[in-house]
Amino acid sequence: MKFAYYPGCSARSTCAELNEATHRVAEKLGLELTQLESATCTGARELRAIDLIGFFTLNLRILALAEREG
Amino acid sequence: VVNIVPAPLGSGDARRLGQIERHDSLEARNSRLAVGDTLTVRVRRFEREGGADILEFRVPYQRAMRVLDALNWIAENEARDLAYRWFCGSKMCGTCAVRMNGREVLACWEAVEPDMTIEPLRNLPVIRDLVVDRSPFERIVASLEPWIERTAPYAGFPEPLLHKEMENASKALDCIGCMACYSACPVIGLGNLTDFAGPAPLVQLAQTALDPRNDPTKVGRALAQTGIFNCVSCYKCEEVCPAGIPIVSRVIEPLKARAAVLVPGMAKHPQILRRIVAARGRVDPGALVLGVQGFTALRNLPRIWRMLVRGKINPVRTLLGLRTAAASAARRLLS
Repeated sequence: MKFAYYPGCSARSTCAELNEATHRVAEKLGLELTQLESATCTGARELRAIDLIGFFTLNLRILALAEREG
Repeated sequence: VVNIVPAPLGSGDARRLGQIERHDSLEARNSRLAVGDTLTVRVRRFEREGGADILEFRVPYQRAMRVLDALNWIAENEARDLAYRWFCGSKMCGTCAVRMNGREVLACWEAVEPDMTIEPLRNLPVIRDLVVDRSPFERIVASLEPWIERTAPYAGFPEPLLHKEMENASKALDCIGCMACYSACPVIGLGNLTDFAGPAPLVQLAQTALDPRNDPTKVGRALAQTGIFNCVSCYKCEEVCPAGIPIVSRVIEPLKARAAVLVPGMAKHPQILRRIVAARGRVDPGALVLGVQGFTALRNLPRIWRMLVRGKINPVRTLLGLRTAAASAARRLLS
């Protein structure tokens, strides 16, 4: 089964072990992960507090990418 | 390959989702106990001189029994000197909040469980048994000047005030000041490591600070003391709030947005995160920490070394300002 996969900023850096674990679990379950390479940061709570429109546009784009790939 | 169908997540606010996760629905509770059953109730007792102790009581279950009824039964039959607070018994006065099995509840509103441990709220000094000292909270609220001050003349009578403008402030006005959120907040639990005022004082502040008639200078002065950007938006406060106030989305985030405009210096961390995302597409942790703390961040050499060894930071990427594949999209969307 093919899934669009979006590792957040932390999963690519400070919490790289989560990314590694996700890939291994997915492999065991027989899931094929398609990584969203051009996905941006979500902005998290930081951007949501100071730039609501920027926050929504970033996240809408990520969801649109996932829909295209997934 | 086993096909996994995830259980439906349910929908609703943080409190409702928390109840679903704990199998805490009304039906589930009512089926757990019947009249004639015996409850095991452990109460943490605390005496300033005598230290803390956990006492266990057997309490006969009565129909529709609340945590408060169990405490009353214990005080009447077993431990006449048990100290606990309650006044209205109907979810209005906000004095009876305790922790039951590790979560903050109003004793007057929460159904009993077959096996309960009842403790005082966290993050406030205990006076005796289940009674906590509310004065730290009251001091913070008083220092935030939680009243409306107007500098502009009245626009005329009746004053034009849109429902939409009062949307968030009116949610905050539902607060009964029970301190459940203050006890559940993990950032407050860090003690003096941050200057975060905490969810309960911020809800009190929001009642007037998010009122459009208030003087922005005074609101800015109050927000500058709250350390509000230390909030990590974990939603624990929303989950435990017995008044059902969406504390993160309707109180803390609107206050953060106000603070970013009125006291721009407070929003350093979000501003730097935004700049990094706009330039590189994604957050580079090294660049974020350097941007916020400056070169003082380099003092903690052992931590830097550990993060380097584990591949959690990449100084080459940080210092060269390398862009990710998402950079051009982020720049377009955030410019």
